[in-house]
Amino acid sequence: LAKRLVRWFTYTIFFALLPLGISILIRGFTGNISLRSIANSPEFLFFSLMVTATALGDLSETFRSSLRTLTFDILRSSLLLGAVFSAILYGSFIYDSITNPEIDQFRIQLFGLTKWLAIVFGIVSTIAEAWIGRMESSP
Amino acid sequence: MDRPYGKLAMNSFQNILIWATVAVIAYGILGGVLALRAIFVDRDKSYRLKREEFLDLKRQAEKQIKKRDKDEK
Repeated sequence: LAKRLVRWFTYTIFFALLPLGISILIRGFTGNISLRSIANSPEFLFFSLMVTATALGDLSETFRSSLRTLTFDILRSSLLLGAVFSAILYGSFIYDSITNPEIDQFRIQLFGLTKWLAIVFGIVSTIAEAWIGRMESSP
Repeated sequence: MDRPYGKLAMNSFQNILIWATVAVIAYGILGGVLALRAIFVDRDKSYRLKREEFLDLKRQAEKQIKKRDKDEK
């Protein structure tokens, strides 16, 4: 379990947060850092898409018919919906930034939602990894 | 040219998108809570069941050993 969680935090969470960190760092260097500029970048959506997709992959990798419970089905479908909605919101974000590059009201509203999507699915994916680790260690 | 119907459709699309995302977030929370329950509660339950099974087998084995010792005497 510990090995899986260390691998999860090192390779997935850290690497998924890297684009966001670099984007904030570069905005900080150029003196262009503000909530509005962060809301105008799609890195939060990349993060939630990457963590849900990796957790889904790990769930399907460790899938055994004996593990097929209601919890497994709900967890897998919620992660799948999280990945799909991250992609849909990313599409909406790109559409709005192409059609309304000057007016960023929709993107700021979207940011209010995407930050919660990223936080919730970051936590849920970590719980899913912990569950997989428990299942692997149990006989 | 003003397009009020297009604007209306865009507003309802935004509302649907927001509420659907809120529903997905709530479903994700449900999945996380169930998984946490599976990690902490169900594991304890299965451990208790296994322990009871083990104690039962141990009792049976002790009974058989006692019976065998009696027969040997």
